[in-house]
Amino acid sequence: MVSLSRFFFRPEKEDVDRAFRILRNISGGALRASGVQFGYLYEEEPYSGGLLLELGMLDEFREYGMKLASFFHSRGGVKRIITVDPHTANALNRLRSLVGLEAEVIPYLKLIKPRISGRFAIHDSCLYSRHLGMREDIRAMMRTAGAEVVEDQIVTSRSGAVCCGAPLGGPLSTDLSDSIARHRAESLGRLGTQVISFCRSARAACRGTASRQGTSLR
Amino acid sequence: MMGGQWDVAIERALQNNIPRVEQILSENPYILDLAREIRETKLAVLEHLDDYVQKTIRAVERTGGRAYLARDAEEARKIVDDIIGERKRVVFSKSNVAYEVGLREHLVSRGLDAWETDLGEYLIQLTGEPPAHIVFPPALHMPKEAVGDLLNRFLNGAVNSGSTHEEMVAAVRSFLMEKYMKAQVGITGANAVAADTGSVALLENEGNIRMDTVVPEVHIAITGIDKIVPTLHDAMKELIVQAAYGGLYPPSYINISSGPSSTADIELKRVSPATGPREFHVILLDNGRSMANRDPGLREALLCIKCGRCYFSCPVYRVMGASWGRPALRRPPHGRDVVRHY
Repeated sequence: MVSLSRFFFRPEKEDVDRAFRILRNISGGALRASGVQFGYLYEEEPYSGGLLLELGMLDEFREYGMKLASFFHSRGGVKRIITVDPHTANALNRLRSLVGLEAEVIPYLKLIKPRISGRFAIHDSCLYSRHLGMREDIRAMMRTAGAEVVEDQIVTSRSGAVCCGAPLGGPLSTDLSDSIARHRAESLGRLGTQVISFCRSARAACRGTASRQGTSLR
Repeated sequence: MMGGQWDVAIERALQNNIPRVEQILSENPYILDLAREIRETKLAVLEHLDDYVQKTIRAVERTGGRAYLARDAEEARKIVDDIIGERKRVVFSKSNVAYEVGLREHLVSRGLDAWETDLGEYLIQLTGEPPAHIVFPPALHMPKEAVGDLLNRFLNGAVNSGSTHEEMVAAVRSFLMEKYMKAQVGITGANAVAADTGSVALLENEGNIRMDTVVPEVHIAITGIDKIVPTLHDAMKELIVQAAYGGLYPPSYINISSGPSSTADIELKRVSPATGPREFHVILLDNGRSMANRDPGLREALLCIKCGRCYFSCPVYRVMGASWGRPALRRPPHGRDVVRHY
């Protein structure tokens, strides 16, 4: 998997550092502050296999998933897995039906109680919103946190919002991926608010355009 | 990437469609229930598709029509050729299956005078380009100014890029009216086909389908076997759902054709034809659909009711327009093409 992921995605050092920062903020900050008790396996933390699933390699994903289920079983029967990104949440959820992964899978967003102020347009994660049914949960969390959520029928609605194009970038077409990301960032920017992305890939894909047009993208 | 003219056209289409569909669904919540019911109904048909095809054929023939199962595009074109015979003048309503089998181009290449009567599809015929959308409007990629320029060339200067929308529509109507009145054959698709009555159900707003199905002496409906539903009641539900997601609700016209025209107004003796067509033909096209139906993943594609709403939620379509996915983007799924393109 490591060699495969290198072929498709080579993160910049800045992105790696930022990813670790986010992970520390989620684990040591948001989750602990919300009173959640959890364990962490450090170097033994396994990969979800999400890349195989999203590339349509279902047989390989199933095979990898069986090993993963066995790993969790061997670690004392993990009962609950907290995920920190939508791709992992979706992949592990699929493994529950595909290979009988027993652990409950819960995105960290459902556990935290953040405080946020300001007006935001939401760029949904396609997986959270469309596949995992969390669209309204995320809006409720934002409002409870103190944010004003700005909606637009074309740009952020259930039927009007579109993907950032990032998943096309590696395996299919970087040009097309970039064009879609530019289009998405421009649409969000026209709303004149801060933008909060619930997908790390989408933030990475859109940040160049957002920066050029002066949109705050979090 | 298309850019320029496409960006203007797609932005106008989004602004016109998305809020309208949301409003229709919120004001008529029963439509969501109908959509769920239609999905289950179509799944049940696909479980026994061969049986439903035979049932539909028998029902069409009970009402005095003729029904055919075409294995592929070539067979479909041959059936149409045999029905048309020596006739020369044909009008088409927009049909994705006719497009799939290349029917209009085939008839024109044989020297027939064949015209699309859906306004958007008529524009597509004039440009010679593939349609930019499967339903509405096929000429989505053309802003009003481009339409005016096109019509100016083909309608002897009747309108131009500065003409109003109304003037352009009136000019096309005037041209097509002569074609309707002289047509010997009307070719339509079908939004749904009822297996119990053999009825072809068609949805429209322009009135062209009503003309195509009534004025010529022969009506040919060509459609995929995936359009079969068990009953006429199911067909009506499908039309309602499709109209709503198309953003045009209620539809101006719903057409149901069951057999050739007839009357029993003199001594209750059934006489055919009456005012409408003397011949009614239904061609059910397979062209890989049965093969797709055997695959659990591809079967999902056969549930599509072709409302075209998904185009507006597709980021690739928004950016690239009609230049992506040709021909799979706008062609119903069938067999090897599905495997190759999807």
